[in-house]
Amino acid sequence: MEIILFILGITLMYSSPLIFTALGGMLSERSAVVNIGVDGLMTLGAFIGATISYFTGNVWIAFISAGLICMGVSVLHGIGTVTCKANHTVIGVAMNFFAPGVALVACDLIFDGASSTPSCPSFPGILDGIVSPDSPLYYLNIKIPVLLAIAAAILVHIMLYKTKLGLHIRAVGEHPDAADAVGINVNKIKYICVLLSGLFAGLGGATMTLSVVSQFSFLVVIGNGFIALGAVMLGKWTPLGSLWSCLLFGFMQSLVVLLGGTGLSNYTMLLSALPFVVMLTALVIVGNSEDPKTNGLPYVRSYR
Amino acid sequence: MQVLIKSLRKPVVATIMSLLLGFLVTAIVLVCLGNNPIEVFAAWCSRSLSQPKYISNVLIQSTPLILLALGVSFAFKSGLINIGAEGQFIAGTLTATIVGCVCNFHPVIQIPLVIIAGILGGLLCGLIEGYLKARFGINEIVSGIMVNWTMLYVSNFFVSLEYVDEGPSIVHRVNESSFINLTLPEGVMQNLQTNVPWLYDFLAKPDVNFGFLIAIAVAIAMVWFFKKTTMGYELKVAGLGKPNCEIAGMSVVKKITLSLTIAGAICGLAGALVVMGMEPHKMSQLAAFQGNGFTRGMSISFIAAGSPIASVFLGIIFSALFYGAESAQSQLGVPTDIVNITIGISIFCMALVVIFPRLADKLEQRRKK
Repeated sequence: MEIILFILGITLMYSSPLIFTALGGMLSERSAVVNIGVDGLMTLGAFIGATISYFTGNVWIAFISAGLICMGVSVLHGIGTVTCKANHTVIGVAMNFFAPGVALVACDLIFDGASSTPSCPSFPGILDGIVSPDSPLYYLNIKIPVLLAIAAAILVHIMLYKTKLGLHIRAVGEHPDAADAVGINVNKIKYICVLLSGLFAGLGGATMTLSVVSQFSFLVVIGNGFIALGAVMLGKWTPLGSLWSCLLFGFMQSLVVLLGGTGLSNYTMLLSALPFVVMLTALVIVGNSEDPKTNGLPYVRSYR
Repeated sequence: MQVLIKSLRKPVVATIMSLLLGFLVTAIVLVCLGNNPIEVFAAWCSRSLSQPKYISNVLIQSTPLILLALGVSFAFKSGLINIGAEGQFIAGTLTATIVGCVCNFHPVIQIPLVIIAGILGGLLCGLIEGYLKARFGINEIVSGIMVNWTMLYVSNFFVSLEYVDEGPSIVHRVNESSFINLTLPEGVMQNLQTNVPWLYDFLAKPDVNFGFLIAIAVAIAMVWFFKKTTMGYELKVAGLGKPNCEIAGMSVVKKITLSLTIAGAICGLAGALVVMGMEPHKMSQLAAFQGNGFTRGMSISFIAAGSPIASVFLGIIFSALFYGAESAQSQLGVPTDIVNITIGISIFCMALVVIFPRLADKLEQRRKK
């Protein structure tokens, strides 16, 4: 019983940053903008979250400002892909250099040459004060961002499938010519989605430093954005699918932590590779998922 | 004006302009941070190019960068983004180290053996990614990332196997027979020292190896491959899309797999050469990616617009940049990571290179009026 609670708690904890970032990546790709840069933005968001939390002591300010600042930086991505119609992947890779570069330089300057921030205040758990750290129920003491992540996934799902904006987004991704013919401003929708993906990526990164680990360290955060993108594909580009894929990945990570404590500890390294192998296998099993038809293609209004 | 229009259409101009813009933005950032950009750039240059031994170091360090960039560029010719370069590199170091430690033949046999081992390591990774993409349609970026992380942990596992007691950092040095360093006889070195001091300085570094020459050879081979061979042509066509391939009667699955496999082989070669040529000639446990393939190889490839020859030049330039920035860090107090910003902006501008032909068109239109 204790083990189940343990797994549940760790799964939720590890997945929450991924869920946010995956939602961001998914929204962007739904409007046919490939956003590989979410990884870099996540790193930047993690740094901003940790730093602002350190200086202001208020986690909510840090959380929200991380999202907003990353949303601002993602404007660059939007300019590159939507306005200048460059290759989305290349722009994403550029962002993956630029954003962490800014984070590292800022970290160096603000914290006098350190490459990781000092410990900062983090989100309290929902069961803080109610459940003591000794009891097994403490594993369920998840932090607030987990709930926010799941709520965000549900909200995005509702937005995408039940609102007019969602319909426009989906139309722009699948058939921008038709959307344009109906009067939808294709570029505006794309920009909105890119900005939203920046927002979510920033929130995801901030979740990482504000609830999973309590400081920013470059090595810990980097690479998670790509895992989130893999989750988007596994989830067939839907919000709830991405949610489940991230939970799957979090579950695998929790297994790694669990098994690492047993006699298999010699094989911890191999175990750490397990989540990735499982993701890959899952992708093979799930099969050729359909990404939005015009994903990655710039939209040029055809002249008749 | 005509000259301007014509030159704007050339890819090399795009590369140069993107680099200049990257440096310009970096200069602005440096000014904001309170540094004198000219001073900083001068320090970077002097730390990397002013003495023969520095230049030697730059060339040595550029070998893996060039090869990784070539690995990424190779796949790019077929329209594939080889993010798995990092993992292929790690796999190459892994297999090369294992063979280098286990076997101990005469250098004439050992060296090719270890090189082939490294190539095979990277080749396998590339094969997996290529096959998954071709047969199952799995995006090569995602599979590349997954394989990267997997190889990271697998290699850490192997390292941890050897030295469970003695600490987590090192594995056996590969046997001396696998080194590819240049060691000239004592007499020749003495002679050089007196007569041609700069050449002596150049060659005196213990890390000097002929890996650089191998890298250039691979670059030339790539150019020849894509320009002159049927297979190269077919790979380029495969990059244009499935319908084109099928109309031409080629098997898309085979071509995509082949492309990533060879790209993986090149990156594996890079890994082998690093282990064979540079101190400490062994692997260590990696806490995370060192950024060899991913950051450096890919960035060089993109800024070079996938051209092998440009990759060589850019590899050298970037190696000088990294090395110079690192050395100057203590002197100037400028964080090395500023270079990342330079690279990021340069890639960004390269991606915007689409603008240049259109700019050329616009200028032409205006001229006609």
